[in-house]
Amino acid sequence: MMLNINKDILRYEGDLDVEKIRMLLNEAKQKINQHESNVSIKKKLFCVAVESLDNIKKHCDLAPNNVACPCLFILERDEKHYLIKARNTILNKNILNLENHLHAINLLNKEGLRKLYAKIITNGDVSDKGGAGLGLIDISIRSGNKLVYSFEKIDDNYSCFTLIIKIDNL
Amino acid sequence: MSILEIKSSTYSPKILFDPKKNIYEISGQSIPENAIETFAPVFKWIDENITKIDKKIEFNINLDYFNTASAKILLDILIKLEKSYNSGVDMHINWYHDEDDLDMQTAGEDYSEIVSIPFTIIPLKEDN
Repeated sequence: MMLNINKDILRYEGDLDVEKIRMLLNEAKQKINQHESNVSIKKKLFCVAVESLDNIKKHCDLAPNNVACPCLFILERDEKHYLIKARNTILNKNILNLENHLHAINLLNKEGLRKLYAKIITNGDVSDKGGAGLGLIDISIRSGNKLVYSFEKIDDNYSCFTLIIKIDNL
Repeated sequence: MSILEIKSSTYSPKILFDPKKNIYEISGQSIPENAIETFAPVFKWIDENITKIDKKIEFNINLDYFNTASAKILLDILIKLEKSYNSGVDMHINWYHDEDDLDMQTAGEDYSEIVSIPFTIIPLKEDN
């Protein structure tokens, strides 16, 4: 799908650690405030940015040489939507589970997502990676649109996972 | 009874549980690197203090945003409080949100459906 990109608001490519994420979130917050006046949309964008960056950092099974798939975070806008793009490497053996999870999320409407969220939050524990298994569901709820994703194989062990999240402008 | 006071930071909320002043508040933003560590003092304070309080406890939760790890820990806190509520400790949760922030309103509503503690969802106008 070709998009008429009006504005590339924030772009980062490279390694991610806690400090880098905090810096990016500070910058994202400032730029979101500059570009958007609606409180609800601003919060959606920021919260999706938080979860996306968290996902990249926590689930980035880095290839020994990450040149093939450097971590990427983009916040951009076209006439009708904001887009957040998040990319990280992933072990090929983890693709099936992730793809099944994304597919299941995309089948659900908002009510179904809220029920799934409630089910996981009441039954799940915070994982050893610090997440609660809720990030993608939360992103989907806030987005209000289907999650778009792709996997591109790098080698026998790793692929590059890209997630695109669309949030409507009013 | 002891006072729990944790100052807010850019990434973690203000937490104030003061039985003497009857103030119980979690506010600000919660996107810490480690939510378990951030909120561990809350669980400890509840264990050590909640049954000693003889007045009605109004917990005020006013968060601008929180990540999903914090969301899970917040529920764990509410479930822990619920056990005390069900044992006879009188309490109420006030969940505040920007009036335009429907996601935060929904989050409060979802929590209120999971726990049996009485909840009030309170929209705040922009200048509050």
